[in-house]
Amino acid sequence: MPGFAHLHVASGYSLRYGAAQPEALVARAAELGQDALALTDRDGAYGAVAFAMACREAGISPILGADLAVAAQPGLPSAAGRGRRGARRPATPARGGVAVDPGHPRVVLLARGAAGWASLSRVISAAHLSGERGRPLMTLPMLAEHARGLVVLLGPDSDVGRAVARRRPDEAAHLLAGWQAAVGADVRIEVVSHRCAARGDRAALSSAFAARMLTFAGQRGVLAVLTNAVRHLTAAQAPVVDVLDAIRRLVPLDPRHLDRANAQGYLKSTPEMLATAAEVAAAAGLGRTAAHRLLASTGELADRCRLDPAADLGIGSVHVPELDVLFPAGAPGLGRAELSAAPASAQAQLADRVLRHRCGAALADRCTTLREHRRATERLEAELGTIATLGYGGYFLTVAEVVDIIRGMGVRVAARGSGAGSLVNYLLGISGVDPLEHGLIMERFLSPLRQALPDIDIDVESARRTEIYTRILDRFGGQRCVAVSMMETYRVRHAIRDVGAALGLPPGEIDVFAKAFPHIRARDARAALADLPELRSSGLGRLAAGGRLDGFLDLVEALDGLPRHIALHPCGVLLSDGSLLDRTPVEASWMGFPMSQFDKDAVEEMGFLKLDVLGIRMQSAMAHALDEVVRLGEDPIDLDAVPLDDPDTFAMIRTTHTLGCFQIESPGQRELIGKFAPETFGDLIVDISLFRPGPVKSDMVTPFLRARQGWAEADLLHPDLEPVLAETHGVVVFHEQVIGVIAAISGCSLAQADELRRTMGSPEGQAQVRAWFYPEALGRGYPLEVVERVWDVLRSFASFGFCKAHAAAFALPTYQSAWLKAHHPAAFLAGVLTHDPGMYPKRLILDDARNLGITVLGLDVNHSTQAYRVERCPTPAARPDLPGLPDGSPYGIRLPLTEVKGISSAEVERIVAGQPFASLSDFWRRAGVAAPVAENLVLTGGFDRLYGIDLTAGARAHGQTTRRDLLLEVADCERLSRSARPGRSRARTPAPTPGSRAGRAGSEGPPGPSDPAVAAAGQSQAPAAARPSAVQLALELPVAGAGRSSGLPEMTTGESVRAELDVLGMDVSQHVLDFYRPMLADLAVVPARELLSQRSQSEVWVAGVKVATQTPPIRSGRRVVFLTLDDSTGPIDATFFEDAQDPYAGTVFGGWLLMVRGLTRRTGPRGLSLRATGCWDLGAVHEIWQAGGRRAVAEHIAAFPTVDTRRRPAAQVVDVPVPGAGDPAASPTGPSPVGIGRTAAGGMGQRRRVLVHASGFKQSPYADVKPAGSDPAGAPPLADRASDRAQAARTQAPGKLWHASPGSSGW
Amino acid sequence: MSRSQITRPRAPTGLGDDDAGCPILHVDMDAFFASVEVARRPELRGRPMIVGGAGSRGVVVAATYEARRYGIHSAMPMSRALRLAPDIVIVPPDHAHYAEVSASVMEMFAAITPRVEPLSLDEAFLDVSGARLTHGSPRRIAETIRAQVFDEQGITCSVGVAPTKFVAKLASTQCKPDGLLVIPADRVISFLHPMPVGALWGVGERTEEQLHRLGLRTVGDIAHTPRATLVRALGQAAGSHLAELAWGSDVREVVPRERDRSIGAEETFARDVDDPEVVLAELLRLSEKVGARMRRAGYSGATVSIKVRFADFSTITRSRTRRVPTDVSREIFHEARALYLGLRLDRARIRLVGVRVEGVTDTDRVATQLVLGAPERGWREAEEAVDRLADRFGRGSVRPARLLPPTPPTPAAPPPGPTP
Repeated sequence: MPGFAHLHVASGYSLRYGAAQPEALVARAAELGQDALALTDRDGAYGAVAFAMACREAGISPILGADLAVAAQPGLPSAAGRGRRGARRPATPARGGVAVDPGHPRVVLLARGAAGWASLSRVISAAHLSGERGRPLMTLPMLAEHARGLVVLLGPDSDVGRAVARRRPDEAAHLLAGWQAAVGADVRIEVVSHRCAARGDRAALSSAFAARMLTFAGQRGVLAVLTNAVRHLTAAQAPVVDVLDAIRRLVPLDPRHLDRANAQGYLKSTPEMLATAAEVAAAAGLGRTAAHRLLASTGELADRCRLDPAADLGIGSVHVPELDVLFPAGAPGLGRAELSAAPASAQAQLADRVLRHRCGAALADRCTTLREHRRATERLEAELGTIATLGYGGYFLTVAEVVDIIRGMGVRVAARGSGAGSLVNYLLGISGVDPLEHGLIMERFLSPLRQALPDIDIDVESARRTEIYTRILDRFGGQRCVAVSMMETYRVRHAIRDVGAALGLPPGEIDVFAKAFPHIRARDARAALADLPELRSSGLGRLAAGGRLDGFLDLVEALDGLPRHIALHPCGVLLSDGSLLDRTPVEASWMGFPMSQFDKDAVEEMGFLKLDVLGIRMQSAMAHALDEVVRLGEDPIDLDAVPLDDPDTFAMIRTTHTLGCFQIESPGQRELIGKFAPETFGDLIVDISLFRPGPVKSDMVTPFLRARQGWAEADLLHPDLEPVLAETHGVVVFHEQVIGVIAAISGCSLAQADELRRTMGSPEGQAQVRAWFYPEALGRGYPLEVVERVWDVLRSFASFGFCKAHAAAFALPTYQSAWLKAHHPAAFLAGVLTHDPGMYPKRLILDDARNLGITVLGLDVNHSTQAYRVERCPTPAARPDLPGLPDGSPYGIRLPLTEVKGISSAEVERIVAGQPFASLSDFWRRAGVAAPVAENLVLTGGFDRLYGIDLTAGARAHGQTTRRDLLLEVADCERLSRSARPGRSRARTPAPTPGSRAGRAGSEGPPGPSDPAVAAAGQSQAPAAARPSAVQLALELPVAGAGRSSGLPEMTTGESVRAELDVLGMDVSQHVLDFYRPMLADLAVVPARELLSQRSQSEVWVAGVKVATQTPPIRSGRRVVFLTLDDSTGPIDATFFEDAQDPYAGTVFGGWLLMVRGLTRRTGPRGLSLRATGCWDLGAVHEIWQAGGRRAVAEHIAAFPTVDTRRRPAAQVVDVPVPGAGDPAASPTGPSPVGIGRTAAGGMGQRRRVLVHASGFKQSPYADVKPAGSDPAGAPPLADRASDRAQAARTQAPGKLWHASPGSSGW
Repeated sequence: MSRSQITRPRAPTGLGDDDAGCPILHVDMDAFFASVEVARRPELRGRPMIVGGAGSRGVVVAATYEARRYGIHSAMPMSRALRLAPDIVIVPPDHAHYAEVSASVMEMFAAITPRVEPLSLDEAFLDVSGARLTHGSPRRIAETIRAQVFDEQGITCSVGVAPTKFVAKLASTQCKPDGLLVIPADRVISFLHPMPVGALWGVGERTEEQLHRLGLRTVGDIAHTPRATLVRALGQAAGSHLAELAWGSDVREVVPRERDRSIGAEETFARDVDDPEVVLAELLRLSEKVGARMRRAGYSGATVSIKVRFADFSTITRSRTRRVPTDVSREIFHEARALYLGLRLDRARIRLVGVRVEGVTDTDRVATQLVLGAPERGWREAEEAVDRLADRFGRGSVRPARLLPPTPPTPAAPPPGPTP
C-alpha cells in the first residue's frame, strides 16, 4: 500500500498561515511512507518550485494546487461571512483599524498535468489581478475560463460546506451545481475531521460534520475525498499557528481569533488517517466499506494529480521573446517577412544569424588594428559557437534590446558580473569593459558544460529604475515580461515584533527588544542573548538567562525562516515568449508592477530567463553630477569616454580620501588603498577583488602586498603559470586564474576547468577533483612536489577567489566616481548627497566637502530646490592644504528643501515654482505649506537671507528681525488663515500626495480660478526684491504683532545646530563635536587629521560621532567590530576585538557620540590602525569633566576594566571588512557554511559558535550581519520629548547626539 | 532614616526662614505606596522595590528611591521596569491599606487646620494662616507634620512652605525626598526665575517644547518676555496665565475638599483585549460599581463618560449627557454601552476602560420626570435592594448574569506570554 496522500496541505508559503517549510513536509511524508504529497498554499504557488525540487530529491510525487478565497456565487443571499466576521466593511473605527480578514469561503484547486498547471497559474493570476491588491478573490467565471485540468475540492470552509453547516442542503446543492457548471465532473467534496467536539465555534472540523459532508456527497452523487487540512508539521507546532493567526489578522492572541480546534491539523500518518476515515464513516452511519471508498477515491485523485517537474511544470526549458517581438520592424540582415514566416523551430537559428550580424558589425567599429581584429575575430567565433550550441542567441539579443532601450532613455547603464567576460556582450554594448584588454574569459560566464543559465546583470541609475521597468514592460508586454518577487522571511527582529504584538507587549517595549538584536536569524535569538556581550549584560539577557523569556523566545524561534511578506525583487525581470503566464502565477507589486510569485531561486530552477536590472545609486549620483556641471555652464562631460589613466584621479585615490567613491570608501578599503597605492585601472580591479570575503578569508592580501611592495619575491609556482599569475605577483586572486592554473597544469579546456573550480566548493568535491587532478598533472610530467604545491594553492583559493570580469565591471564606476571627485568635487558630492549611494551618513559627506574647501550653503527658501545644487561662491572658503586632493573652494553646495522634516514633495514643488519670495507672508500665501513645515524652515535658517539674519554675527542691530520673530509670524499667519477659513485648519489639511491629481494640478499649471488671490500671485512675472524693506514688511503683514519687538532672544548657535539635527537630521552650520572642543583639548584628544602623525604603539584618545559600525568576517571565527567616528577633520576607524567587546560593545552599539581609547599601529605610509581598548559615551564624560575636570574623568575611566594590550590580537591586517550584506553582488562564489562548530571562546560566552566553511575557514555567526541598534547612516535619534524622560536618561542617554542639560539656556 | 534628618532638613534653606507671608503648605509623601510597603516590611528597606501588578502587565504604581536609580518611575510599564532591573522586588498594590494610611495622615492635617485640600492620596495643600496661634509658625507646623507623619506611619514626606499654592508645590518638589523648604514672600521671584519653564503649573510637554523653541527656558525668561509676545505664541488664555505665574502670582485658594464632582471607576485588563464582549462586560461591572457608590452617597449625575486606553497607552474619552440625572446602574451602562459602540472599534487593543458619571448633584434635588405608565417600582428600586443584599452578604452576591464567571476555557488556550 502506497500510504495516504495528503491533498490539502499548507506550508509556510501560505503567508502567516502555515507553520511548516515545504521541505520539512516532504521529508515527513517520505518518512511516513507516503509516496505522493500535495502543496496547496493559500493564494498562490509561492512554494511550488521548492516543493517540487524537494519531492524529486525524496522520490515523492508532487501534487500542486492552491487554496483560494472565492467570491459569493450570484443569486444566493449569504455565501460569504461566517457570522463572526461579515464581508461588509465597517465604517472607519476610532482607533486600531478595521478587521483585515473578510472571511470569504475558500476552496482548494488541484492541477492535473501540464494543462492543469497552466490553468492553475492563470486562475491564481486572475484572482490576484482583479479587485484589490493583496486580497485575491476567485470567481466562478475565472475558474470556468481556465478550467482545463483543474480539480475543485469543496471542504468545510467552502460555500457548499458552510451551507451544509447551516443545514441548508438545498442551498448547498445549488452552489455545488454552480461549481459543476464551471469545471464539469472534476468536483470533489472534501471531508475533513480534526476529531474535535461537534459543538462550539469550530464544529466544522468535527467528525460529525465531516459525516454530514460525506452524506451530502453521497446524496448528490459526488465523489468525496479525505484530507486533514494540514497547516503544521507536528502537533507540537500548533501554538505557532495560533501566533500566525493573530499576526495575519493583526489582532492579539485570543481564542476568538484562532482557526484551529485542536492540535490535529498536522501531517498525519497513514494509520491515523485510516482511523479518521473510519470515525467519519461511522458517524455518518455507514460501514467500513464507506471508509474504504473514501480512502480509495482520495488515492485515485492523488494518482491523477501527480505531476512530473520536467514535463508538467516545464522546469528546465528555455523561452525567450519571439524574434518578431524583438524586431517588429525586421532585424539587421533579416527581412520582416522572413522573420514572421519562420517556424518556431527555426527561431533559434535565425537568432544566431542576427546575433552574428550585429557582433560582426560592431567588431569592425571597435578594433583599430589588424592584429586586434584577428584576435577578436577568433574569440568572437568561439563565443558565437558556444551560444549557438546552447541556443541562447535570442537571450543575448533580448538583453541587447533592453540595454538599447535604457540607453535610448538617456540613462547611465553598465554591466556587472561574469557577463563582462564575454566579447559578445562588449560588442552588443551590454558591457563597457573590453574583455580582451583585461584578460577576461568567456568560460567563467558561459560554457557548454555549465548547467546554470547565463546571468547578465545590468546596473542603471537607481532614481530611474521604475521608469525603466515601465518602459521594458511596455516594450514586451505583460504576457512576456514580469518582475521577479522576493519572499521576505522571518528573522529575529520581525519575529520579535510580531510575537510581541500578538502577545500584547507595549509597543515601545517591543521596539527596544527588537532593536537590541543584530540582524540575525530568529532561531539564534537565545544563542545571541547568551553569546553577545552587549546582550548578555543587558536586562533582556539577564531575564533570558533566568528563563523568564522562554515562552516568548520559543515562539520567536519557531517563526524562523517562515515567509512573511512578498515584495518586488530589487532587480529581477523575467523575459519570455508568449507562454509565460502558463508557467508562473503573477500578482501585482505595491508599486503596481506585475510580479511572478516565484522568487529568484525558483525562477532559476524553472529555467526562466531573468535579467537583473539593478538600480545603482552611484549611477544616479554620477548622472546628477554631470547635470550639475552642465547647469553651471561648463562643458558637458562624456564620462564613458574619459581615459582610464588619469594621474590626478589616481593621486586622489592614493590619498585615501575616497569618501563617496564607489566600492572604495569603507574603512577597510581605505586602509587597503593606503597600503596598496593603486596606479592603474588594473590595480583597481585587483584592489576590488582583494577586498572580498574570499580573498580576505584565504589571506591573499598579505602575500600580495608584500610582493607588490617588493618585500617578498613573487612566487609563481612554476614557469608555466607565469602568464596566469604574473599580474598579481603570484597570488591567486581571480577565478579566472584558478581556471587558468587548472587548465595549464592538467591540459584540460577552460570550460572544463571552470566546472572543476565549481566542484571544489564542497569538501567532497575537493576530494573528487583531487583524485582527477593528480594523475592528470603527473601524467603531463610535472614533478610531484610542484603538483602538490599547486594543489595546495588551488584547494585554499579555488572557492574563494573573485570573478575578475565582475571586478572589472565594478572598477569602471569606481574609476568614474573617483575621476568626478578629482575633477568636479562639488558636483560629485552634490550627486552623492542627493542620491546617498554610500555607507555613511550625509553629515560625513558634508564634512568631506568642507575639507575640500567647498562651502556648505544652508537652506534658503529662495535658492534651495529638490536636490543638492552646486553654486559658485564669490568668497571661497579657507581650505587646508592637502596635496593630491582637488580644490573645491570656488563652489558651494546648497542644501535642498527635501531634507526638511515633514515636507511633502508637493510642497517642495510649490516652493520651487513660487521662488523668489519677498517675505514670510508672501511665502505663506503662495507656497501653501503646512505650519510645522514653515516653522521648520524658519528654525533651520531658510529665511535668514531674506531677513538678513546672521547668527554668527555678534551683536544684533536694534530692531533686527530674529528667527524667533519669524516663528511668531508663522503662528500669526496660521491664525489668520484659520480665521479666514473657519473650520478648516491649514496645518491639519494633509498636503496632496505627489501622485494625486490635486498635486499634479498644483505643480503643472496655474491654480484654478477658485482662489483669485492665489491665482494672481501665481501669475506674477515681476521678480520680487530679494531683500524687502521694513516698510514693505509692515504693509504686507496685517498681523497683530508685526513690527513690534517680540523681546525674544535670537537662537544661539547651539540651538541652531540642535534645530538642524532635529529638522534635517544632520548638523550643518557647525559640527556637533565643536561644543565639546574645550574638553577634548583639555583631555588631549587627537583629531583625525593628526592621527597619522602619532607614533606607532602609542595610546591615544579619539572622539567623534558614530558614522558606521561593521562586523566583518575574519579568519579566526571571532567577531570583530569596526567603528567609524567622525570628528569633522575626517573619519577615524577603530577596531574592537573580543577582549574589548565584553565591557564596551554595549556602548559602541548603543551610543552616538563616543570617545575611544586605543593603541596605534602603523601599517603603511598612509596606513594607521587603531586597536580600541575602551569606549565611553562622550556626553557622560563631558558631564563628569564639567563637574570635576580632567582628574574626575581619569578616575571615571580607571573604574572600567582594562584590556590587555600586550596580547597580540588574534586577527591582523587581513581582517579587512567586506561590503555589507546589502551588496547584491556580494560574493558570487560565497560558499555557504557547511557546519557549525564550537571553539573555546574569549569574551564570547563559554563556548564560541562558529560557522565552518568548506575550506576550513571559520566565521563568527555574528559577522557580516547588521549590528544591534539603529543604522548609524540614518539620522541619529534625538532625545524625544514625548518619550519617557527618565527612561531616556538611563538607557538612551548614550543614544543621543544632543547632550541637553535640562534647564540650561543652551550653549 | 534618622530623626536628625527630619528635624534638620537636607533641603536648601538658603532662601531664609522668614515664613511670615507663607501661609500655604504643600505636603507630599515621598514614594508613598512604596514607602508604606517598606514601613510594614522592614526587610525591604534599602532595596530597589516597586509596587505594581504582578506579571508583565500593568504599570509601576510606585517605586522606591533605590529603584528610581535604575530609571524606574511610576506609570512605567512593568515590562520595562523588569528589563531595567531584572532582579527588582515587586510588591502587589494594596490600595485599601494605602487609603487607610492616607486617611489617617489627612486626619492629622485636619487637626491642624480645617483648610486642607487633598490633591490625591499622597499630597495635600494646607492653608495654615489661621493656625498660627494654636500651632505656631508655618515652618514650625511643617516640621511638626513631618515629625508626626514619620512617627505615626514610618514614612517621610516633603513640605513646601510658600505664599501661594503653586510655589509651595514647587518648593516641596524641590526639597524631595524628606525635606522642608520655606520660600519667603520676598524670595519668591529669585526662587522661581531660575526654574525651568516645565516647572510652571499648566506647562506640559508640548507647551514646554514650544517655549524652548522660542528660546524661553527658564521662568525668568518668560517673566521678561512681553505679555503680547506670549499671547501671540500661545494664545490669549495660556499666554496671560504664564505671564502671571512667572511673577509668582497665583490667585487660587486652598479649598477644603469639595464634594466629588464626578464618580468613576476604571479597570486595566490582565491582557490587552479586543473582544467587544469582554469590554462590554467590564463596562457593565464598572457601571454597577459606580451606580452603587452613587446611590450610597445619595448622588445622581447626568453626564456619563467612558475612557478607553489602548495598548500604546493612547487614551480617548467620550461622554453623553442625559436629560435627567440618574443613579441607576442600568442607565449608566446603557449610556456607556452606546458610547463604546459608537467608537466602532474593530481591531483596537484595549488596555483599560473606565466609566464615570459627571455633573453630580444630590439625588434629593433631582426633579424626576414622571413617565406616564411607568411601573411604580423600577430598576432603581431593584438596584437598591441589591445594594442592601451586598451590604449584608458581600459585594457580588447578586449580580447581572453577564458578570457570572465565564464558561470553561476553550481548548485552544494561547501559549504563555513572556513571564517577567
